[in-house]
Amino acid sequence: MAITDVAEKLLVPPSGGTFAALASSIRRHRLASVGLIVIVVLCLLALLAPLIAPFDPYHQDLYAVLSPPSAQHWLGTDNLGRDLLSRILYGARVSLMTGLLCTFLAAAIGVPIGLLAGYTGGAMDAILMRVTDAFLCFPPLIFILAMSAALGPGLSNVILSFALFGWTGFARIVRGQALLVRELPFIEAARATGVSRFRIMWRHVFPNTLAPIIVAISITVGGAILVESGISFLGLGVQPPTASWGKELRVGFTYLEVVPLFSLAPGLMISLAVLGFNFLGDGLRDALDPRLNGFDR
Amino acid sequence: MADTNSGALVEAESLSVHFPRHRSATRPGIAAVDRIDLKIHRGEILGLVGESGCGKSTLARTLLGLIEPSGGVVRFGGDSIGNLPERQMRPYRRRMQIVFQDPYSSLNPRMRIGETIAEAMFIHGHATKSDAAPLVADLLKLVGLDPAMAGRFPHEFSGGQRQRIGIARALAVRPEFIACDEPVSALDVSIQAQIVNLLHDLREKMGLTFLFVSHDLAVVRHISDRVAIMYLGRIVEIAPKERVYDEPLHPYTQALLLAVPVPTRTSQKRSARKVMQGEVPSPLNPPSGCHFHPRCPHAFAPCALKQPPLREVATGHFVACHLYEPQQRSAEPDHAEDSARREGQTPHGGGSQVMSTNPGQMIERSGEYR
Amino acid sequence: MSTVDATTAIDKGPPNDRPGGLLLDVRDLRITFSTRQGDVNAVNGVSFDVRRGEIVAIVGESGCGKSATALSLLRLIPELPGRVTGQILFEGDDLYKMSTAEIQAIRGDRIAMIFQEPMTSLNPVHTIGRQVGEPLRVHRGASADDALARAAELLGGVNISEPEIRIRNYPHQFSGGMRQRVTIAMGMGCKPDLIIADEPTTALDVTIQAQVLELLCQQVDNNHSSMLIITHNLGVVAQYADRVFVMYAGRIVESAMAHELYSDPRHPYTMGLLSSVPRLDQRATERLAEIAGQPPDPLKLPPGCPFQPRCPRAIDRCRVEMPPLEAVSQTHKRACWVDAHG
Ligand SMILES: Nc1ncnc2c1ncn2[C@@H]1O[C@H](COP(=O)(O)OP(=O)(O)OP(=O)(O)O)[C@@H](O)[C@H]1O
Ligand SMILES: Nc1ncnc2c1ncn2[C@@H]1O[C@H](COP(=O)(O)OP(=O)(O)OP(=O)(O)O)[C@@H](O)[C@H]1O
Ligand code: SF4
Ligand SMILES: [Mg+2]
Ligand SMILES: [Mg+2]
Repeated sequence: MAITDVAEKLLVPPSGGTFAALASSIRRHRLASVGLIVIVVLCLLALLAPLIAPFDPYHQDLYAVLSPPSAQHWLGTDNLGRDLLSRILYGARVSLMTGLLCTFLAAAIGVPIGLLAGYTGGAMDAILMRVTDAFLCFPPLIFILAMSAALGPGLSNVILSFALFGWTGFARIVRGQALLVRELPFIEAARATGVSRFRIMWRHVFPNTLAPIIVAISITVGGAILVESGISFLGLGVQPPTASWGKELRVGFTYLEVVPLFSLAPGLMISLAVLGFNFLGDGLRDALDPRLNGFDR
Repeated sequence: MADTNSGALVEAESLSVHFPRHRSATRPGIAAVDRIDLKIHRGEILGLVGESGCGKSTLARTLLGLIEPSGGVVRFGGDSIGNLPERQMRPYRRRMQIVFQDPYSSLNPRMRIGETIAEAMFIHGHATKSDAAPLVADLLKLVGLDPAMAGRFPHEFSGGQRQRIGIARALAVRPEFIACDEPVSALDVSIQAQIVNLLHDLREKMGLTFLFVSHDLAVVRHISDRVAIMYLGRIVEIAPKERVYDEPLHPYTQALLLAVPVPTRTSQKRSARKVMQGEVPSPLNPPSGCHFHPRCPHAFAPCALKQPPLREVATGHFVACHLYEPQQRSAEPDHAEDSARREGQTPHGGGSQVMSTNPGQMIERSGEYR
Repeated sequence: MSTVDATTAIDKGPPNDRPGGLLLDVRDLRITFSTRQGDVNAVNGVSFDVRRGEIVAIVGESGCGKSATALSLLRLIPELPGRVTGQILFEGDDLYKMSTAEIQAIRGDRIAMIFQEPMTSLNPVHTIGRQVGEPLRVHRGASADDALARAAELLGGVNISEPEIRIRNYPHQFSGGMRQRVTIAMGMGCKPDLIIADEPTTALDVTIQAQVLELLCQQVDNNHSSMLIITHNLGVVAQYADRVFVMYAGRIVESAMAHELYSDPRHPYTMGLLSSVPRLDQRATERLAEIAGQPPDPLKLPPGCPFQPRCPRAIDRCRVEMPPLEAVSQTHKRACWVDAHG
């Protein structure tokens, strides 16, 4: 997959600070900056939802169900007469949060496994990678669905099941990177100094796998938002009355002919978020290529 | 210098290291280090020189337990450490250090150099988080760097500055033995002199032991007590430095000394150095017999057939060459002497140096030297 | 700001038996890195030139800005902490006025750089063969197979034995000196007009060093190209260079024909340098001669001559006023207030 390819290229970018390097390369890359702006705006909207939402998202006005956009309700109302704009703003909190949580949880499982496998090598590597492969054999979406169904509907179950099946990507990327990093002389130098194995992994190998992890996180968040939307769309994710984009899309879908905006608006938001994260990820991938990075002024 | 067995701090016995030729290779690989016997005495500085790629770094790293030997034994202070797992290796790590050849890649690009140096201190309990800063500053000053640089990342330094950071890191552990792999190659002569003098002082004052790998034969002569010359994974000559420089016996040593560029302007440019001719041998496929024979001006019949053992030809002077093998001499005395006389050229004494070793002086004892 | 190197004027003097058109002309180059402690003035107004067919050496203190100078010639100083001012003319064209595409077409093709630390220019995840062949594919449009075959040839040229097998190795499987030779082979692939070699032979033993330098010189002779070589090895300078620039604390303090520098050094730093060289043709003394003191901190350069705190001949004027780079003969310049002789 493309990401591992990138991971190879990202090996030890010339600059010392990952984040400084990332920031400067994003600025230079147009697509990445677009993605970043989209993400920042979406996050701001989500964070500020209580302040900027015109209505309480749970307030029902049964006299004005499925109303078209108006000066009062910019995007109209839903089937229970709740303000759609407010619901989408609040839904952004749920959807983005879920995306991020899913990703971080997956990374939290995958990264240590990858580090351990890649740095230790040998039997440990073989065992851990067989386990990873086993997980990869399952079609993830179906399993997440099945698990969500088994555990019962609810957001936390979606997050859990996503993490349970989403960590493999991180493990593979990190393992690949760790395999390369451990051959580098500074690891041998750390061994020669007497640094313990755990500390080498944590202080020496891990920071040098950060760049591809960040790229992967960015792309995974997009995927997770999509998964959450899909599961909510199928009715297994967030439960009423909580709003999420997938949920709105599902309900709105029923009324597609009556009020198209009801489903279009959340759909658009999902696409925006997913594209934003993917642009950022792609951009980071290109911009962080050490053979190009820093070589131009 | 201690002449006893107990004086050996670091010892290699028939040490070999083999690498695969490439990732998927099954055929025999590179014998980077080939059955080497070596002793480094406590408080001694042993210089190690040899052609690029002949296995000097590999030997140094193996002595430090960083590469697992494919054969043979490494001893440190009498304990065998060759195949110890990392955890059992740790008590030895504090006693021995290495300055790596490539300073840039041996520094973690994500760590400030102050952290790198402090880490070495923490691990061995020489400092705590609170009192590390002044110690790091002292070390940086010791190697001629500005203590204010501790907060910088490796890429913010010049090549020579990074090399000195590597030296500071090794010193931070306060070891007994340091293997310096080309520690001054990136330094200008004046700072090089400072560092060489520093190492010298450390030896004088604290009794440190050094393995000093370098291509600069003048620096090696300056700093070392003994000098070992390697060729294609084997030690071909080892002797006290005066003997190596004044009376080099092995034809490779002689060729090496002739090729040193001299910093004076000679009238004819680019011709002053007598450069050794012939193919550079491949460690993948080493020549038979004496590995040097295809390039050796003195090579004669047995050279291609049999590998000459390292033999003591004068007190403390060991050489692995058929010219100094007593049996060969009696078998083919004329040929050997003739070729030596005809072509033997040494930098310091003209053509007859090769012969200056009285055959009677040659001692039959082979192998062990101390 | 004292007017230091107003030496942009090209000295047209030195007798040079080879065609001496101006290939590279650097004028008043200044390089600053901003760090958390403040601005590091790595290079402070350096001017020099390289003529066609010439081998020019730069020597100087560790950290005096030699590599920074070399990197700036190819616009390789990262924009973020670095700032470059001055003019760098390559065949009369200002490299800093070119577009990215133009400069990329020059890098590795017309000007090749051999980096000081080989691992910085080698990618640990690609085979040696692929990396040595890369410039040929980029600039000459060679096919992958041709590039690989040529890579093996080039590696053979720098004395790597069995190159056909070795091209399949990765950088970490090479010794330090072998990596250095790989970067040299990489630099020579496209037969560049100018080779910038930053300490190209530090990791090589004397015999291979001689062979590799010989090879580089042959390239220079055969292609009428030029070489800018940065080195600490004064023996190499003596043997191979036509002209020498001595740098100290980001400035050129002496420039001369190579033989002049050895026979008649005029700057106290150069004299100190020459006397610090450990030599095989002299008896070893107990301690090597060093130049007392430390090089100045580029964050706070002393006023006046930067070498003054360490200079055995300093006079009062040295403490306050920067000496300009002045000609002592047609080919020889030095920046020192004292009329010193070695
Ligand atoms: N990890 C490795 N895998 C495979 N081969 C290796 C590895 N490390 C070293 N070698 C090979 O072993 C031989 C000796 O390498 P070593 O680094 O010890 O040489 P060296 O004497 O230090 O040379 P130099 O002076 O150039 O640094 C070389 O042929 C090299 O290619
Ligand atoms: N990215 C950077 N950020 C801050 N300072 C830097 C950076 N790069 C180089 N420097 C500083 O600039 C000065 C010049 O560095 P440069 O690499 O040019 O030295 P050099 O002459 O090549 O030395 P050496 O002989 O040791 O390689 C040094 O003092 C170095 O610390
Ligand atoms: S053994 Fe023979 S080939 Fe080898 S160095 Fe001696 S004379 Fe030369
Ligand atoms: Mg080496
Ligand atoms: Mg440099």
